Amino acid sequence: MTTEDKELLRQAVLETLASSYPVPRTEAALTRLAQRQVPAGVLETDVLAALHILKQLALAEFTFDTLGSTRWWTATAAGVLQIERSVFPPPRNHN
Amino acid sequence: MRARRSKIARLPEPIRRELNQRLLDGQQGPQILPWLNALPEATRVIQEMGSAGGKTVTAFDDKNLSDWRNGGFQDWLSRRDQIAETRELADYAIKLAKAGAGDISEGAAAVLSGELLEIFEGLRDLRSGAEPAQLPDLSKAIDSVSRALASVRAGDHSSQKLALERERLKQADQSLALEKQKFQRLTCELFVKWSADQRAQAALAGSGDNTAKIHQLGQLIFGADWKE
Repeated sequence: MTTEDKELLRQAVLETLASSYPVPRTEAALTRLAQRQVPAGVLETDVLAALHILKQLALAEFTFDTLGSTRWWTATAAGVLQIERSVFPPPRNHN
Repeated sequence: MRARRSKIARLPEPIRRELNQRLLDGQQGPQILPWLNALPEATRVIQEMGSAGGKTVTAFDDKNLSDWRNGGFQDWLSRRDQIAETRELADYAIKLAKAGAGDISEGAAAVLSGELLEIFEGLRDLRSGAEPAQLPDLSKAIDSVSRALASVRAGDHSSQKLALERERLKQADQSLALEKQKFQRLTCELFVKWSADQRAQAALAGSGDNTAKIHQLGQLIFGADWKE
């Protein structure tokens, strides 16, 4: 993946997490959704790498399934705000 | 989402966002272009494109705006719609998870709602004619939800049992505390009553040890019920 593809992937993953907030998503679901949005072939490992960067930026976090090892990812409040401000900006002053 | 390489696509995200909002508000070229071309970021993009391509790049014009309106702006609109739709599905999944599973923990409800959202999205994609390869495995997702519900319900029953047991212990504690209060009150009442009794006074003033005095008092107060 090119650097630009990776950026697009991070954006797509964060958008998915923020739009479904607070419902968590698995890495498999995020991969499937990202494969439609990013032109380059996206693998689950690419999504995982994107998620870890988002986590380091405090834009995403995960919890484990109570009885399993599946990671369930959600956007943090900061992640949700970042997406909302880019897609649903606050009303501008038209004066 | 496609990587766009147009002149406007090279502008920073906050400016593209502002531009999209202006287009959504119905503004046209004569209103947008003077604003856009006055931005230092726009000048920088023009300079960068000029120096990279070795040719003169002009200011942003109606053609650039028209291209963006048919490309990047449409992407932004569909992102908006998609996000709004996913939000609705997510809200519905949460409500359904909570209603279907009763009083469950936040974590369990969240996972269950995640599973439900998978199913909703799968059904939506199926309806919109998505490629089978792009669909989630619906039978697997439904199976996961069934298992999650069963496990949540089992956990819920355990927590209900635990709550009942806790309530029972609390009631036992309360009744023990009441008994204690009752006992103390009764002791005081007996003391008041019997301290004035001459037989009790005589028993207490006697020469025996405390054990003997308690025995005498016990027989006096409780009669045949007294047992050492």
